[in-house]
Amino acid sequence: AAAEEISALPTDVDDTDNIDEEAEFAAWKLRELLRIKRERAEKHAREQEKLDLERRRLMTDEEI
Amino acid sequence: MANRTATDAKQIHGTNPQFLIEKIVRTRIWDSLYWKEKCFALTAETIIDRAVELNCVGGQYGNQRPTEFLCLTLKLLQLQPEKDIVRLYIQNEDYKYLRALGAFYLRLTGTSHEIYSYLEPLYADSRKLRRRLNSGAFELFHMDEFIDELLRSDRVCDTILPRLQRREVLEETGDLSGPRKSVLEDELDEEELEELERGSESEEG
Amino acid sequence: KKHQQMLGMSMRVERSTADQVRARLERLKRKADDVPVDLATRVERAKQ
Repeated sequence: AAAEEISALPTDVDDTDNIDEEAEFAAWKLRELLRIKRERAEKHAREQEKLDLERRRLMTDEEI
Repeated sequence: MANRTATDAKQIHGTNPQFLIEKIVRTRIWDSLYWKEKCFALTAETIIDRAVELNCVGGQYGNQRPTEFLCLTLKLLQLQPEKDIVRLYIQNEDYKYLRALGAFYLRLTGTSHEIYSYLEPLYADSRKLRRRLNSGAFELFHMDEFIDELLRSDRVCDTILPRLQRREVLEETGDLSGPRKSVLEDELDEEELEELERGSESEEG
Repeated sequence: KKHQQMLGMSMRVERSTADQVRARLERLKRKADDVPVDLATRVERAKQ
């Protein structure tokens, strides 16, 4: 009975590809661009941290 | 072989590969009808027939029933197919759920280097995937998003993923040459990126 | 386990090779490609 209840949920989605190729490509492109952006931001943050560390190492005890 | 691991299987991450799926989930899989009726005596070859019939990815749903996706993952952990075979699953272009299954399996069992090398190219795969949520409902997402979860999350499909070395560490040691190369990289210009940045900011605001 | 051995079942599953896997994928694909043709011809036949 439980199985029937679950499959009866009106929540199925269609996973057929290439229904609207252009829109699907555009959506993917946006996702990929956001990932590239994220990767760049992460790289930037890592470099920033490295610089910070370097600067602190060069400081004297008094400055800290 | 019923529920046992292949006798010539190697330990993965220092343990019996089947243990990568939590005991409670494993037990539910062994108790499931799908496991008993459809997974018995499958081989790395015949499991393909089951995998191409899959219509969703996911962990557990409804009354904590394991998805068929998870059952087949456990089967692969038992069988421990050769790396070449796993690569064939992943690189096949025709059956997206077989690819997803292979990718998930590789994420569970592969080295960090293998994982980045074989999964990152799939960021270019924009095909739709159906995912079964814990509630039992379905959700639509895409192969590239699934790959992103595999590379970035600790837990996918109700399964704890083994630790993955950070990408930049592998880049520094020379195990991976340079950062991830997106298929978009070539046609990408800075303007487009900036525009995107502005767009996402205004969305948040 | 003992029970299955008594039933004469081998506990060991045959290991597949990459070649077998490749061949199976190709076979599946061929079969899938054939289906639309079959359907079309069947429809044609039905019309006649």
